[in-house]
Amino acid sequence: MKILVVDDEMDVKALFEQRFRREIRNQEFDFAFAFSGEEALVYLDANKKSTVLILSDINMPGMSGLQLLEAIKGSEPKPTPMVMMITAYADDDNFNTAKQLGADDFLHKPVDFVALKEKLKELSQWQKS
Amino acid sequence: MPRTPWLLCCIAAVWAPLLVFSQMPAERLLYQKVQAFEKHPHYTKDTAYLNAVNAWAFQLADANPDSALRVLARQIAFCKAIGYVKGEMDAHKILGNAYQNKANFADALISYNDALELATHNKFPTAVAGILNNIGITYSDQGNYQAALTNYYKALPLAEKQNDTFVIGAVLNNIANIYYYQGKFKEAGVNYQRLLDLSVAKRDTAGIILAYRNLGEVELELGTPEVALQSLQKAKALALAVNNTELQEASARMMAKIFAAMDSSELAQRAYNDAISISTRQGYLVPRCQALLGLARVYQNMGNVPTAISTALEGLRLAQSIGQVQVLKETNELLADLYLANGNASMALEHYKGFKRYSDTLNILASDKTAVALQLQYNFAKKEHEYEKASLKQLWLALAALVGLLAVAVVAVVFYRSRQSTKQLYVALQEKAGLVEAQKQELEETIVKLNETQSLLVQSEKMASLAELTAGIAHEIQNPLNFVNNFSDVSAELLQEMVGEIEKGNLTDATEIAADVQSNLQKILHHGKRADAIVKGMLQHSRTGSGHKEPVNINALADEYLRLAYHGLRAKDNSFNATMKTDFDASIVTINAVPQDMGRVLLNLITNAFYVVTEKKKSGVPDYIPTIWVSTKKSPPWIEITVRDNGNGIPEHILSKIFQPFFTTKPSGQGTGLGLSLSYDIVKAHGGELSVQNQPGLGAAFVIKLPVGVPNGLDQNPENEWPDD
Repeated sequence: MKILVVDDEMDVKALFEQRFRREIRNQEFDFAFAFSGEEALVYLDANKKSTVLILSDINMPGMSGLQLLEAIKGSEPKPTPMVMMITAYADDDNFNTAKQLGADDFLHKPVDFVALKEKLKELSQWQKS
Repeated sequence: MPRTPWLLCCIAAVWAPLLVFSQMPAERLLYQKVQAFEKHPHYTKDTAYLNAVNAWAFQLADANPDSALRVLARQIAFCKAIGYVKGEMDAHKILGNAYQNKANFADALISYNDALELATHNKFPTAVAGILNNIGITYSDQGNYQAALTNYYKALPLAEKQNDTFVIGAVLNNIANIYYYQGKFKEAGVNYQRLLDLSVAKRDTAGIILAYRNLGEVELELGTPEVALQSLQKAKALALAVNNTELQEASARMMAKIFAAMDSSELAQRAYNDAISISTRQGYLVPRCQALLGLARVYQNMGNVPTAISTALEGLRLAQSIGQVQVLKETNELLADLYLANGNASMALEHYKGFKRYSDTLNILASDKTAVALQLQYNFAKKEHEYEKASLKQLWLALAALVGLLAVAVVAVVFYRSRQSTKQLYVALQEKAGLVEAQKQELEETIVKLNETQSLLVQSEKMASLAELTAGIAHEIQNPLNFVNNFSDVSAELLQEMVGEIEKGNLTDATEIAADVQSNLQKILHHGKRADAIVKGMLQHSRTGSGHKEPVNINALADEYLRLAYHGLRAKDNSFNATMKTDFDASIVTINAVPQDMGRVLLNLITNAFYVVTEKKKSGVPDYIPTIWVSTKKSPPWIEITVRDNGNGIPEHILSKIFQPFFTTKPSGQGTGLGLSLSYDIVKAHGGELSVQNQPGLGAAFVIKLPVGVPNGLDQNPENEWPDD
């Protein structure tokens, strides 16, 4: 399952690679990383069909996570990949905006990797079925 | 021949009109011009009319000061009503002339100072020197030569700067007059000679004539009437050649004075008659009074007392009609002498009283010259004694004795009053000195309080910006802490795995895991340092007192504060968002700066930029994307840091105020108004410049220019390394 992680923090890549090292090794998950909203859109231009899930931070310089979400959900062809939003500000406003824009799920920082892993596994199961 | 200082005052007054209106037409002609204007509707709003009134009032101030006062009161109101500042300024100046002619020096000074204030505030530099000159004349007329000279020497360089030869000449003449009054005839001569040289160089005939005329006066005093006459002949010939009636009259009058000194009574009489006929024809009232007085003295010397009395009385009536105190004083004195010689002691006393009254008027106004006043009182007493003696010789002894007693009583009262007023003056001065000292102390205390308040305000501005930063800082610390926690956690897992691999004898995998753990430990250290730097930065930001300069990575600092500002605002307002674009010149490594101060400047500029783009977004501009740009570039010898926004720009009318303390466009309570002011000071303290490039409606860019200072790349210090995120 191809997952795109979008965050302006570079070390997110190392963290995901280590947290999901077994799943990556088993080829259960395939992570790609983008460090800005703009970079994510460039990646998706080429890999939209194969990408199942996008995990995106909200607060990023330049294009914000919400703007990215809007761009993805507004793009063709449908159905678009699933988008899970991650932010440090666990507030209703962002939650509602993200929901309105079509976010499929919502994660709070600091990310609970055990919970995330479960979610991703469920998704993977559901996708296989 | 007795010295007649007032004569020169009047010459100075004759000279004064020449400063502005050379070759002034007669007062009647000017009045007709004014009347012609008054036929038009709304004439009071016509500056040409107001100028004509000033020209007329100028003449009137000399000829009939009381009428001039009435005209000028109206004139000032008219000028004020239409905001015609120059007209108002001229009117105040002429008002000063009128008061001066009435010997009301206090009001003259007020009027001149009103004119001076208008001239200074409204940038009429050409008028300032002239007004200062007139102020000098006023002081001089009061016998306050020190103050007069102060004003003349202020006026002189100003006039020289403006190359205003009329005023230069007038001032030189007036300085010379003071020397003349003080009996320093040689020094007076030197200055009149300077006036002559200047006037010759500038081909200023009026100046040449005046200089010759006054040199004649000096030479007369130096006991060389023949040389004086030569000077006067030149003056008279020139005045005739250029048809300057004012100076023709003045020269004729002066020649008459010289002839009188030379005991050539007939020639003196003829010259005075010349002067009288010119002044009568031209309506020069003051000079006519003076000429009549001089002529009366000539008749007195000729022993023709009745004609002397009638001439003096004619002069007296004229002086009364125009309120000329100086002339009234002199004429009364002469008449007292003449009546006494005529055996009419009661009339002599009457006129002596007049003389004293007018002397008092002059001397009360010159209260700061107490010594002069006392000297005059002494002279009065002496003179009184002489009158008393003369009267006793007459038949009506009793009456004369009574007159004498009365006069002595008057003198005694005057003496007493003078002493009292001196005493009061002294007490008042002492009180004032005490008051000034108290005010000085109060001011010093206020300054100390102001300094304390300023420090408090600077500190409160720091705290206000710190509050803005707190949320941003929390976010910025949260991220590195998350990494520290996650990498620690995952490393523990990895170590467990590593143990398993070792137990299985799988050393290659174990080594790979060990490398990962090692890398994680480095990341933990990095993020720990990052959080540490943020906390340090926060502490530095709130620290009072000036920090010291150190090499600062300005790109990292700008990036850090951009993030802090963004997250700070984001935390306060969820709906806030803006696109941030950075363009840092990677070739800039470090510059010498106080990091917390420069951080404060950046934070301030960035927060302001975010504020204006948010406001524009809220105003509902369609398709608007709030954006701010932070960039750095080398522009030797400067490093430029630019914070640009696409807000609405700064309205032109407030552009000049934005760096002023307490100036803010934010709603009450949202801004201290100190941010840009402090930023400006900080950048200046770094030897740099803070400027704004403004595009109303499109945005603004604040540009910080800092001197390069330390060569790039020579001062890298790991202690000052900024987190790379």
